[in-house]
Amino acid sequence: VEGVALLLTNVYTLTTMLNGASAIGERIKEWRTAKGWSQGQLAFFSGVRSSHLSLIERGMRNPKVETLVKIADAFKRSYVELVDGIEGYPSSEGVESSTREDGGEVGAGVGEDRSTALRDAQINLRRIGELNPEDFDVVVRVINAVMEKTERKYLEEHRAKRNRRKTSQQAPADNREVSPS
Amino acid sequence: VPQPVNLATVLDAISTEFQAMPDTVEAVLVRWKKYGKRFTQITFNDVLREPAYSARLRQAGAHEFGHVVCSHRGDLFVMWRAGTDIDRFARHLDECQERQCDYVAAYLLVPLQTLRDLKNMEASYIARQLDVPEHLVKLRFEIWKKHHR
Repeated sequence: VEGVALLLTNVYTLTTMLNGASAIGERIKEWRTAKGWSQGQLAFFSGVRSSHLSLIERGMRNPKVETLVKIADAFKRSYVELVDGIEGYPSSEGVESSTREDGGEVGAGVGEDRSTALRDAQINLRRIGELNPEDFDVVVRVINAVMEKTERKYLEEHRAKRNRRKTSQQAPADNREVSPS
Repeated sequence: VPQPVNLATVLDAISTEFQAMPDTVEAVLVRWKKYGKRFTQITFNDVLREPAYSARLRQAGAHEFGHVVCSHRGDLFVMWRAGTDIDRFARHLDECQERQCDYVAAYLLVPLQTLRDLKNMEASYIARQLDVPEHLVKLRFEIWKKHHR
């Protein structure tokens, strides 16, 4: 009897989760289409992978709270609004929006790191984001690729410089060892 | 005829490259911070490699350089191709900053002395002489008329 009760509880929990996942997926899709965004655009704005978004929208994944916060941020709305009335998601307690306090207007300052820069880029692109989805994706891909390339180049140069410095520091020491006293 | 400021050396100091981008996008300036370093990268539309578009390339470089020298706050600036239906985007852009950059480009690429020397000539002729877009020459004329400099 205990086994059956446990099984029923698990089935109930699973059903609630899947219903919640489906409802949240529908809401995300509804918000996204209202904005006229493609899944790729939402992926860019939120930082959540496009393939993952697709599964979430179809109710095939139960997203984590952090993921939902990112998605809500992309819409400039709160997590609470996103999960409002949907079972199976925690309330707003302890969930903080990562949306910038200044509203992320263009020209909000050079970002602390690449993800911040990208976030600003997202915001900027969103403001001018009437590019068609294909063009939008191209620009986003180009920006990402260029940033990665520049960082890689910098790291290589940095390493080469460090190695040169090491070699030049070792050289006099070696000389001292071999030189006659 | 006094020639435009040669920005090649300046732009070499900033990381630049060419990438295939939509026709409507002329250039993109992106700035970010990583490993404790600030990066600035200008990416031009690949088509601007064509010798026929050298004037557009110079303008795009000078315009993006304008964002750097004016210390505009922001991480990403997109320069749209002039004369496209992108004008409808203008209301979304920070017009003041973009205007400033156009001014910088006009000051750098259209020497006042050239305008003085060729003031009776068509803007298109001056543009050809300087290898810059015609609308930049017109803008420089406007600035000269308005600010007397």
